[in-house]
Formats: sequence, structure tokens, C-alpha cells
Amino acid sequence: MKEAKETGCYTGVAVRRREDERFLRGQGRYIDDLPEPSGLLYLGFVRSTHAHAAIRSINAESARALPGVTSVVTGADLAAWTIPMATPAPDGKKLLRHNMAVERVRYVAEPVAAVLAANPYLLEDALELVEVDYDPLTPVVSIADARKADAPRLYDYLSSNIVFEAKYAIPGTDEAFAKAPHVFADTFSSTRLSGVAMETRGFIASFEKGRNNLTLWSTAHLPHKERWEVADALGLAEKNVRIISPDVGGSFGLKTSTFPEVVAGAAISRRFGRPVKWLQDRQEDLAVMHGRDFQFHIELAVDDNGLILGVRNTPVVNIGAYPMWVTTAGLDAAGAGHHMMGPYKVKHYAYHAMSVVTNTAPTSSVRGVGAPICSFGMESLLTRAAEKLGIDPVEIRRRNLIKKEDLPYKNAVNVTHDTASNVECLDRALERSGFMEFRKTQSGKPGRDGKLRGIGLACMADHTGQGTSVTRSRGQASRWPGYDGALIKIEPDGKAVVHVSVASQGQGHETVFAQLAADGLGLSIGDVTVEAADTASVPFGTGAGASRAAVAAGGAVIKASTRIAEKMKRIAGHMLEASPGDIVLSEGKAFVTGVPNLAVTIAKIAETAYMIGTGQMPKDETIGLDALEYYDPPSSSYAMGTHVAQVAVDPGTGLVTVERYYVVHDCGRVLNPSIVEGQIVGAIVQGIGAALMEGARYSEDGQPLSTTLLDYTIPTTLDVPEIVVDHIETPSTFTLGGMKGAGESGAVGSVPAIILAVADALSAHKPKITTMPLTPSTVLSLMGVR
Amino acid sequence: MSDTPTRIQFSINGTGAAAEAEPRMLLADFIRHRLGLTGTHVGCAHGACGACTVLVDGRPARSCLMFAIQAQGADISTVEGLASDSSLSALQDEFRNHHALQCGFCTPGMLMSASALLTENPDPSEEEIRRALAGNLCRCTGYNNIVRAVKAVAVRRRK
Repeated sequence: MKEAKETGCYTGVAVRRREDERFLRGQGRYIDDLPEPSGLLYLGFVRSTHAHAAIRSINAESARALPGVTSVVTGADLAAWTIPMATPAPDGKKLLRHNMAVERVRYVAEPVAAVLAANPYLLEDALELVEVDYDPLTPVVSIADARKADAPRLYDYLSSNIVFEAKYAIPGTDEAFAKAPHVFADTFSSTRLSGVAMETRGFIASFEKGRNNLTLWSTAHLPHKERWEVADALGLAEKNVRIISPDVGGSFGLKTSTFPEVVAGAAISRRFGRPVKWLQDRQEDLAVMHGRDFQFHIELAVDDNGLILGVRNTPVVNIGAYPMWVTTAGLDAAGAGHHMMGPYKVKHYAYHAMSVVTNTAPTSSVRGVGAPICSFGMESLLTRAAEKLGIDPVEIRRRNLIKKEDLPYKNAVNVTHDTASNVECLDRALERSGFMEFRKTQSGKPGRDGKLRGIGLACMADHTGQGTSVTRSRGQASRWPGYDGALIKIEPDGKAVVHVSVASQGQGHETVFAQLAADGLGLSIGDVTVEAADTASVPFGTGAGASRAAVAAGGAVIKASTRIAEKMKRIAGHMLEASPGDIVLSEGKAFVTGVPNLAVTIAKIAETAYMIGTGQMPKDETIGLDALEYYDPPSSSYAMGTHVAQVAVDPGTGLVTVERYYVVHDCGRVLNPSIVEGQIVGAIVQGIGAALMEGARYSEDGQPLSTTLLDYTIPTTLDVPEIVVDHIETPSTFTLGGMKGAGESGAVGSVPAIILAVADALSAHKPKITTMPLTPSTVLSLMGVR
Repeated sequence: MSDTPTRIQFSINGTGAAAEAEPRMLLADFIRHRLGLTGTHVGCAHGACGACTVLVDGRPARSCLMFAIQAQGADISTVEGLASDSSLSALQDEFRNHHALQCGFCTPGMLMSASALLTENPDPSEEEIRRALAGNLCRCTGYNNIVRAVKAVAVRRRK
């Protein structure tokens, strides 16, 4: 791997990651690695053992009596110290979330009481001594339970358990369905997932009474959003809350939520005047860090040639006991409405999205949000349509894909596709995977090892880099605006620090934004540092997530470095007696085009700009070399790709093995091919987990059944095949720099590709696969074995 | 239960040392919080994820499943012992070259398991690498770059 191209251009090169050395040396600084402030107390939570119950009493006497225990705090105590988080609900009402249960528990593992102790071992002892007496109520666990007319209501002040509804229709959609010669429909669902970031959540909250300031070292994925939510709950000004997200060990969407513990911890630190530390253990993580509990009813209308006439989607999302985002209870449901069309031309479209509350852990968005299940539904129904109409399954996709000649193509939810390499991705994936030949010779047939082989293909598009205009058109205007910021400072010695508003949980921001800034400023990448962790020093912004950091923060870095570069060219031009337009910045120097000897170093320019040397600034030039810029992408931009999975099914055990995997992908301009490929492969492997093994299941009475990593299994080295990644690079015409997002598309395309491959292997049984994971027992039942 | 600390003598990354540990203190906590070597991470505390893997007398062990007092007299190696001040070890270097880490949280445990494998079997096949690392979970990378990095160390040593 090269450090840089000979031209001095870093962007687009597989620059080795600048964060890696500290991680490899064991010098990463995750929450539990940080130095502990003096006077620290350890915080733990007594959690509900019931899915739905009234709290009769809490007896904390023996816990309080234990030496080393400072305090026990109940939900009623906390309610007096915080303002409940209020989310819009139907009929103009607000759904109130207390961060510890008050009078009633609504899910297993809901915090009921908090204990403060001098060390983590004593804390565990004390947590076991708190006795809570419950009066059980009937739990509502599934989407079907929640929607029953006579279902117990989770919130007496709401009219039902449906807490969000949104409808949208292109006029004429129902008529298109009524006239359509063929309609295919089914309900596609996912089993609830857990994120399983390798680092669980945690924080150190430290409130300084004298300054009325809260510092929160937190695993927050969206530090500015968490700052606002914590400030709001505690009645503090945002300026008085500082969130520092140090190294964070993965998120995959889950850590975007402001969870109850962090609000409780902040309030407890303020109340007791002591810093408090909380670390989530893995059992807690697996009991509460959930997402993607979906049932989408999808209908596809096609004509005799397989051309799509219309699509209707009724996505229902089980959000658990309460919304995790204060501003909406419909983040995933509305997203599912929005993401349905993927890479296909759909003229008539309607959705009716809803969220229901149940007595299960509150859910957050998981990588891909609604799109993997939308894509699962779309690809499955297109495959069924092809079979019914006698059209090749590849051909039916090809006929419906958005093509270059369709551009610019405004889709059914009014987002325009700026580029379209869908057909090129499909063709190259067919070629690389040998899809057609495999189907002829191996599909559904037992190999020499007795295993049935199958191949599945999915065309997908992923909505990335959403700007404020699209956010607003989706009615989501909130603390998730759509732009991001970059503050770049060249220090007086000529070396640069880049502060970006997007925090990293492993995506390589310290590298990619340094690449962009180094190129923009003409510096060596070794002279550029990227900082992202601290709300006290980074500009406000939306934050990473929804495949947007490269687009939005990348654009901001380009804008800020361009502004500084222009100033440096003016200063250099003045010093070299040349026109600023003739100055080139490269490798730490400014030189006159075509006269490389006529040069001045950036260090010298900085010295001049800060007036610490004797160099003369141009007349009327301002002091310093820094720039703060925001970039708001004008729209969203669709990344696209084709995924092909090849599987083997053991007919004796029902075990599915993914044997080969191909993806051809277009995420616009690639900033660092190695990092982009890492994102795609990592997301595909999460798709293997979702499709084949993962499930955060509940018993009928609402007890979580998979709270260890032995019960909730994720892919290991033995579950992952060779994954061949190929890029087509079509720069976005919408975004500054041409980037599109790459974080989630792997998670979107892998689910349908793997499931369709299993269906292909089992074709003799004509399975209609509508849910996942395809565990061995599920596969055996699809084969008619009980 | 008695909380009276016991004095433990051991060697850590090649240097002899002694420290006190309460009877129920986990080896992981002892290494991280008593010795201050926070490179060893705790990902599950129930022996399933491998993030806390260290070498005890040269063999990989889950430090979340051992008590510190069980390390009495043991030779313990952690991720902090792999690199010299000036340069990364070949294994660490190949992890960087192959983009074998993203968030970096599982990386120390992964490195220790891989390092034990390479000591025992200097030229492992892909299958052997996958089996040796099957007890170390990673949620970011999808593993293939990790397997390639380990393979590259073997190739580098052959040269």
C-alpha cells in the first residue's frame, strides 16, 4: 500500500490509516481506558425483571447498608431532578419518557433504581440487594399483539399502541394496482437484531457545581444530539454541557440514541456533586441495544413484460417501549417508506408507515435502517414475478433499473438520482460471479458433498448523504439537519488541525479527512491532524450516520481548506511578487506555476499570516490561517450496487454456508479504496449475520432470550467467505467532491442476495421465504422437514 | 467472602513485577486497572468474544475468565508487549497494511491470538488461521483482512 501518489495527491489513494498505530499498540482510549477523575463513584442500574408491571415498592435498605455504597436512587427520585423527554404522538399528544421507571415498568431491563458504590465489585453486590416488588400486568410483545383492538395500552393517555403513522401516495397508485394484470404481495419481516458493537456503551459524567457545567465522556455516536438531549433533560444550556466521545468501539447505528442511563448518570452526578462512571455489561447490551424489528407488507404491480406499474408498502416497526429519538417515533418507519424503490423505476408508489410500542426494549436504527427489508421484499417479489411471467430473473431487474438515459431521474419520493451505473454494476457482477452459468449447472442441485447449492442476486441503491432540503421534505427537521462542519486551523508553524462535526466509531475519519485537507492545503498528510471528539472544539453538525460523513463533512473539509488555500495563495503571491492565480500549493510549499524554484514554504506563509515573523502581508489581509465552513449537500445521492451470494445448504442439518460473495459497487468518488472496501465488506458480514443467525428474541411474556454472546451469535472467521469487491466510480454530480456514502449499502444488498440464494438452493421445495434469520431449523422447515 | 488482598508475583511483558489483588479480582481488571495496561479490552466478561485475550505462559487465555490470583508466578503477555518503542511488530504492521482493524476494540485480543498461533505454527494455512481466530469476535471488518494480515506475516517470515 502506498502512502501517497507521486503527484502528492492523497485523495483516492489507499493511504494507511492514521488511527491504527495507537490501536495496534493498545493505546486506544475507549471509555474504560480513560483516567478516572478523583472522587469517582461507580454507577449501576437495578433493572426490571418484568416486561410489564406496576412497581409496588422498592426496598433498598440492605443495599444502602453495605459498606462502600454511597446511595440508591429510584425512578421517583430521578423524575424530580430531570425533565422527561417528550416525543410527538398522535392526536397532538406527547409520549413522555422518564429515564428510570416511575410507578410502572414497560420492558425487561428498564432501569428501576440506580446504585452508587466505591468500586465496581461492590456495586454488583449492592445491585443484587435491592428488592423490587412488582404487580405484573399483561405484556404486549409483538407487532400483532400491539395492533389488536383490545390490546392493553402501554400508555393510558394515548388512544392506542400505534404512536406514529405516515401516509404518502402518488395520485393514481390505487388505480394502477386495480388495472394491473399482475400483483405480487407478501409480508416481509426481520427478527429483531442487536448491534453488538465490540465496545458496549458507557460514560463518565462529571458535573461541576461552581461552574454549572457538565462534562460527559460518552460513547455517543452523535455528540451534538446527545448534548442537546442531556441539556434539555437537565434544564441546562447547551454551552454548559460538553460531550467528549473518545475512541468508540463500533456503533452500527445503535449509539446514535441517547439512552436513559446517560441522562440518569448526568443528573445523578449533578445531584451528588461527584463524577460517576457507568459501563454497560454485555448482558445489558444484548437486552437493550436492539433494532430492526420490522414487518413490511409490500405489493408489486407489473405488466405482462415485467415492467413495474406500482408499489405499495405498509411498513410496521416495533419500536419497543418508547421512542429513542425525542423528535420522532417514526425514524425507521418513515425511512422504510422512503427507501422502498431502490434502483428501480417506480411510477406509482404509496406507503402507510407506522410504529407501535410494545413491552420490549426501545429500538434504535441499525445500519441500513429500513432499506435491507425493503430490498428483501422488492427483490423477492421481482423474482416471483419473473418466475410467474416466464422472464429471466436478471432480465426483469434489467428492464426496471434506472438507466443513464433516464437521468436525471426523480423517484417516487421526489429524490433525484444523479448518476446511474445500475446496469454496469449488474453486468460486471454477472461476469465476475458466473451467475448465469451457475444457475444452469448447479442451482438447486446436490453437489458431490450432498449439499444443495444456490445463487442469489440483488440490485440495490442506498440513499446517502442527505442534506437539509431532503430532511425537511421528509418532515424530519430536528437535531438531524443534514449539513456538517469543518474548522481547519493552520497553526503558526504551518501544520494543520482539522475539527470535523462527525464523530468516528471506527470509520477512519482521522485518515480520510486528513487526505482531503492535505490535498486542499498542499500539506504533507503527516502535517495534518483530525480531531472530532469534543463538542467544545468541533463545529455543530449533524454527525455521522445514514452514510453521510464522507459527503457532508468531506464537503465541509473541502470548502474550509479551499478558503485557507486561497488566502495562502494571496500571501504567497505577495511574497513572491506573482499573481495568486499562478500559485500552486503542494508538499508544504507555495510556488509559482512552472517556476518551482520560486517558492515559499507554508511554514513561512503561516509565520507571515500570524505576523510572528517579518514577512509582509498583502494590504487589508486578515490575521491568521483558519476557516470554519459548513457543507449542506443539495439533495441526497444514491449509491448503488449489485450483490451476488452463493450458498450451500446441508439438507441433513439445514445449515447454510455462504461460499462465495461478489459485490460491484458505485459510491461515487472513492476517498480511500481500502476504507471503502472495509465498510462494504464489514456491512456484508453483518448481513450474513442478519440473514442466517442473529435474533434478539423474546418469549411470549416478554423475557429476552438471547442475552449472552452464546445465545446471540454473530458471524465469526468461520462464517465468512471470500468477498470480492469491485468498484465502478461515477462521481456524484450533486456533491462537492463527487462522493456518495458507503457505510450501509453492504448491509442492504446482502440480506436479499443471501436469502434468494437459499431460496434458489431449495428451489425444489418452492419456498416463499419471508423472514429471517434462516437458522438450520427454519431451513429444515422450508424443506418440509419437521 | 474475605476481601484481603493477596500479593501476586508474575512477569508482565518480560518484566518481573508484583502487585496485590483481592480474591475475586478478575485478571482482566487486574491488568487494566491495577497495572494500568488498558490495551487489553473487556468485550463481554463471559468468555465469548475474545477481546480480553492475553498470553499466560505463552498460551492464549481469556483474562475475563481468570482470577488475578490464578496468575501467581505466571508469565503474562499483553498487546503492550508486542511493539518496540520505535516500531510495530511484523504482525501489527501487517494489520495496518491490510486494513485489518476499524474501531480497534477487538484488535488487541485478535493480535494476541494470532501471535500465539504464529509462534506455534509459523506458516499456517488460511483454514488454520480461521480456526485459531474463530473465538475472537470482530464486528467491523468482516475478518477477511485480518486473515490476510496473519497470512502476510507468515509470507514475510519465509522471505
